[in-house]
Amino acid sequence: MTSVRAVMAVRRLEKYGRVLQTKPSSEELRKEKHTEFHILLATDKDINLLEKVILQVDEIKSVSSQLFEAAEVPVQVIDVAKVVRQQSQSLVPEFIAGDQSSKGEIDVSARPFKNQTIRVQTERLDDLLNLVGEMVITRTRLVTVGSDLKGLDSQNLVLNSLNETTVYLGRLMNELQESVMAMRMVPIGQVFSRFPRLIRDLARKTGKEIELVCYGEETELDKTIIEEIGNPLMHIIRNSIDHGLESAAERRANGKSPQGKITIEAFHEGSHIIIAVSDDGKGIDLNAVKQKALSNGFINSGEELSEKDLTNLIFLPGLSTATQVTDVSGRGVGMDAVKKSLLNLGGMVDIVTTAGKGTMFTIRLPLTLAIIQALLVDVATETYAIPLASVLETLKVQKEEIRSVGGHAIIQLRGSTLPLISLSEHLGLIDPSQNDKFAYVVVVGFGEKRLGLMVDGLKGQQEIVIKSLGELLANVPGFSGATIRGDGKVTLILDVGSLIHDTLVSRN
Amino acid sequence: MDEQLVTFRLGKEEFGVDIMRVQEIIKIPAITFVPRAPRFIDGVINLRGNVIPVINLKNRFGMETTEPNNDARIIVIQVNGRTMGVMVDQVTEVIRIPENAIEPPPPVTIGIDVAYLRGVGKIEDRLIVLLELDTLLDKGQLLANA
Repeated sequence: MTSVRAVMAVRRLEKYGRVLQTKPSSEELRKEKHTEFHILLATDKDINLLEKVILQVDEIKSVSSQLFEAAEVPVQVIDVAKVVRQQSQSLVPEFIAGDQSSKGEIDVSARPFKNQTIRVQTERLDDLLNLVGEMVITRTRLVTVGSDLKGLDSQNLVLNSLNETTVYLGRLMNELQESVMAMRMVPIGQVFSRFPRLIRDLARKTGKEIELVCYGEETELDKTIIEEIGNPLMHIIRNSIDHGLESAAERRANGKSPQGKITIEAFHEGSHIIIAVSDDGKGIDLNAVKQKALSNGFINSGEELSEKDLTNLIFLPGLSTATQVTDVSGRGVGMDAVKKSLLNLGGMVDIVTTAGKGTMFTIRLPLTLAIIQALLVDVATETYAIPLASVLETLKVQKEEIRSVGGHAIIQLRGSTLPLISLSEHLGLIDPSQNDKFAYVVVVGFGEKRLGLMVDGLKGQQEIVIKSLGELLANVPGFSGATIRGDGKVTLILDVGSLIHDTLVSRN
Repeated sequence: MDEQLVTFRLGKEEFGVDIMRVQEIIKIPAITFVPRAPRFIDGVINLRGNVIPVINLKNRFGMETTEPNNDARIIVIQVNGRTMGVMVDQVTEVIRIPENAIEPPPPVTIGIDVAYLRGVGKIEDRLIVLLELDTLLDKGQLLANA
């Protein structure tokens, strides 16, 4: 029985008396599923009426009750509704014992739990984060001043205490920054809470029996991602139900339980969050995918494709193996859109499918859009940041390895050709140093496409806070935003997607 | 009604903007060049954690551009809810100018579109060109003329 039903039962009883206690506690009832639960109610109403009230709640199979005289405990009449799917021994005596030991005290946890929250505009939080960032930079200046002064007079005690204070200030700043970041984090349960309804509707529409299991609702991620992730997830679930899960009859014939199961799981992994949506349906028919891709001309008949390659074909626009378009899915646009919106969020999606066993979609997203890991590179006299998520590897290549095919630079990388562009040329920067022996190449990838960016130096990896370039510069090609570095200077963030797109389009 | 202006120099000309639009005046910090941006944008700067564009008005007005010297400043201005910096050669003063001292812009001006001018202020023998910021720094106008 889903937890919401138990809570509903308690709510209904509250109209007829005072719910003194529930077992498990109302908090636990809310969080987990239980096959049975007990309610201790003080009431002057008729038992039969109360039993009826409870039985009206969906999914509750049976009720049993027990009366306690008011004299036994300091309440009037007690009715214990025991709701069971599988009968087990009564917990009532414990109930009473517990109640007597705490005479007169009524468990407050039985009352609805109130969250102490304030709604704040995200803009205000962003402002706060900006200010914190500025303070961090100002503190670094203070540290520099401190160490400069120390160079002048190393014996001064006042200076020592200044330096100690700046160290302490630094620690406070870190904590402040973390707590401001934490304010933007929202539990993913908000998104999950829409799904039971979706599943119910789809179950009705498709005539399949479906059970939804969610884990990790409390996993937190940035609010902006929460807002964007709902639709792609919904799409994946629709697909899993429509294409993945079989009908109850088919499942029975295959020796599975008639009820199909959709599992959604969220958990943290480093600075990423993983959301896995899996079904125990029939899996993706890779042969059908292959046939479809062949007939649509996405692949050639001679091509050797691994299982993984075949699976990934379903992300191509216009590819659907559904023989029939339903109003749930099957138009061949869905997975393509899902992948795109996940890429926009800086995420990745991976599929593992086993014939007859089911399919699992694994989505990997950054915890926040505001802070990313980036590779800082030198280009001529400028420094640029490349989001680490799109960096595949970095190479140091000899200039003579770079070849030109039709006026376009390429290199051979492990047997395949990698198109190459020089960032300083591409951005129209004058390069004073012109190292002619070797160049650093940052290999970036966006989807299936690869591109090598020639840079003058690699500065290392850093966590950066993404800022918008503003409306005026929003359309400047090649840059997706900016960040402010420790020295207060603005560093531009390269837009790998548009760089790849520009280059590959102009070369074709 | 008097009007209060912040006046500044671009080359030899003196210009004025409504003081209420000026958020602050700052010395020139490190400016990050933005490749392939419209040419009248010098780059972006960090203003207390916000990245704001810096507009080069001399470039915009087709005047001869020079490297900023010690007197050069950036006037941070609010236009239609956006913050941007305007690079000027020198901030001269903050003055009060009576409304009747402002004349409509002459039809033939110093090569600046009349739509960008509010008028010309006359104080003794000085002529101050009053800029219409909303049209001058409007996003559409800026990008159309890029």
